[in-house]
Amino acid sequence: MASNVVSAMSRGIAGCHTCGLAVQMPDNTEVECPRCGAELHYRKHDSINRAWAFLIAAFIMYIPANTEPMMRTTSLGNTSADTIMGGVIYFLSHGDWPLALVIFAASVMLPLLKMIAIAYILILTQRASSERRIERTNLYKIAEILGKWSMLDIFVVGLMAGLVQLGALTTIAPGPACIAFAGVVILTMFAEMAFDPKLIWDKME
Amino acid sequence: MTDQPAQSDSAIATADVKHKSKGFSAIWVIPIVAAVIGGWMVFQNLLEEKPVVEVTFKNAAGIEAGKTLVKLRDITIGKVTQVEFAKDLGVIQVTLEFEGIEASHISEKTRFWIVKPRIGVGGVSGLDTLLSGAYIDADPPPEVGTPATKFVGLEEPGNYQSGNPGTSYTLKSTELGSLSRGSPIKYRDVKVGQVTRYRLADNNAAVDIEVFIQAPYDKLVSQETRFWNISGVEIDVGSEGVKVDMGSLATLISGGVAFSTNDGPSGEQARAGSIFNLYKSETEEAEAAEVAFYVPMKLYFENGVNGLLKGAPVEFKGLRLGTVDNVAAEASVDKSELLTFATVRLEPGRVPGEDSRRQDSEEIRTKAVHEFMDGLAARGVRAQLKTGNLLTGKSLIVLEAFPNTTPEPVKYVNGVAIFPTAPESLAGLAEKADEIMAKVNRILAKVDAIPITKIGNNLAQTTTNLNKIPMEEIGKNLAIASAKLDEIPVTQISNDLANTLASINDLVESLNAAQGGVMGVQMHQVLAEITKAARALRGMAEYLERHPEALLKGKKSN
Repeated sequence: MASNVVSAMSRGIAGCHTCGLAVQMPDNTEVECPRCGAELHYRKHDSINRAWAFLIAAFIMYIPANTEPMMRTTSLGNTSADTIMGGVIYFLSHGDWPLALVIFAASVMLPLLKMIAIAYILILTQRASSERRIERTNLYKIAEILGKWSMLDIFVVGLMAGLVQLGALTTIAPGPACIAFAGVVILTMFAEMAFDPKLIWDKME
Repeated sequence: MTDQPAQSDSAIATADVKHKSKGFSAIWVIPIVAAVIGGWMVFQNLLEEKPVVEVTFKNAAGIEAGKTLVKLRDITIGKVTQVEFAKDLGVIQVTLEFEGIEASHISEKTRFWIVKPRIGVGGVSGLDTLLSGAYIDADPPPEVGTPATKFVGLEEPGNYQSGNPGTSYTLKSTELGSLSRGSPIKYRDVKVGQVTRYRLADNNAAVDIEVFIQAPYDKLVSQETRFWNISGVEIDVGSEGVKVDMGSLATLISGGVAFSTNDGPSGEQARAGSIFNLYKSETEEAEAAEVAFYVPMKLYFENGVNGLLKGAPVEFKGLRLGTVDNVAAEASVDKSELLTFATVRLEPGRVPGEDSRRQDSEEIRTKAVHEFMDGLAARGVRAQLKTGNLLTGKSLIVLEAFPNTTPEPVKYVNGVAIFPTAPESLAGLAEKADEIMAKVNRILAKVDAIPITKIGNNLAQTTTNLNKIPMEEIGKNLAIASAKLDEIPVTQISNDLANTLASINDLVESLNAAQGGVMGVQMHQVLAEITKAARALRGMAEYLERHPEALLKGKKSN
């Protein structure tokens, strides 16, 4: 189906990224939108490189996000620091497996799957592969929607740290993994935003 | 965008290559920054130097790996990472990991103990551990010492020496009494320290009580300081009546020690670890409580130990050197004879000037005493039994020089000195009798020498002289003098005095208004006038306040 369609780029037409106006592109490289004045490109600028940079940064931050403590709980003078997996194991050992599953899915699996998905899309796009284009596009859509929910962890810790300040009795403070985890979520969002899904369909013979 | 069309259009392919050859795009700074931050997060724990030590405890109640904290003056400096048995299950090895404290501070002198709630009469301690659980207290010395990683934890809580400056001393006592760990040490009834530990002395003959006096009060402890127990009630029935002496109720139950220094704190502070006697009461004589240090000695008396009892003094040149500890008998080596002997405690602490030796070890002091006894024996000094009290027949032991006897050396059997003795011989008694006779003779000779006849003559002469005094003439002169005294007009003088007093009375009455005196009435009138004037002035002031124009216009007539 897609092979019969003529892309705008092949006709020398580009859509403005800002206002969406379709513009006939001249040969000059530096052009701007006649309506809103934004710079015009056929595709997002340096899309694959940027996406890779953000994705690799996200992968790096994923390590401290899981090895460092997410939350420090001080209860009656005893301080315990828990990592994400520590929390999952805690809930599992107490028979609370639905909660453990939710935390594991939202905080461990989801960011990882999203990163892998973006990496997969990027690799295939870079190779100009024509395989599974529709699946890739759908994958991209799903990643975009689900990625936002990964911040759940940060919200929970932020809420707990704000609410549970009972002095000597119990105090909850965010751990260093919070920053790393927020970094993972934000960086994957940047990676996915930097990627131009139109590129999936570009390399058609 | 230059690269997208370049890839499909060969005419601009060069541009595409050019772009790629630029290589490094600014966007790659982001993963590098992420790598630096992530790496720092992961490795900061590894980079940070965390001293780890192992402490062994006999009992580790309440210690939990990963939870129990190590504190220094209530500030967390680390935590327990591992609790395990030693190989023989005899002790428990607790691994501590320190944070925020330099490894050089954990030296071999550092002490560790477990803080648990303790409740005693002297007070409650470690109450905070009821909520937080037990924790391990560390006490690193202020100076940097040799670093160590293996320690033996104290069973009893230590006293903070580094955080709590002061000095430790040892008190020796025959019994512990009601003293316990934490019993207060008082100076003029102010608590300046406490009992930190006690144990039986090495020979089990006394109790060593370790006390800790806080700075700056430790300066008060000099070599002359006297410590006494204030635990009990002391009732003294003496010639002044009954005297009851008692410390506070708390010390009655938990015990306590007081000290005083006679010379004031002018003396130099005693060295840390100095040994003092603990007396039973403030006024107790040194004789009864001298237990701190003694050297045993054995004396064999051939002629028996008549009247010698436990507690009898041992004297040398009038000074008390020691106390009879026991009087007993044993068979001689060939079993043919019964040897009577007295065991004696030589107590050098009684001798004035021996105080300076208090800091020496017992071995050195024992050696000094033995040398002293050897010296005495070499000069022919022997121990002799003497009757101290003619009424009760109680005896005492006196060390005395016998110049005519051949010196006999001191023998040592199992570290006990056997000092040579001299019998209270009959010959000695005869000598004494002779002495007394000689003295009596000398007195008689002096009595003989008094010139009684001459004294009689002098007395007779004095009497004659007294007779010559003209008694009658003296009597006449006295009569004349008395007549002259009669002529003085005593009645008149007394009348004049009465008149004077009456006029003084009148004057006083005239001053007294209450009795209608003139002056008083006048004063009343004057005061009344002044009051009226004041009232008028106030009226005017009030009027002026309301009508200031009256100053110019004059008072309005209503």
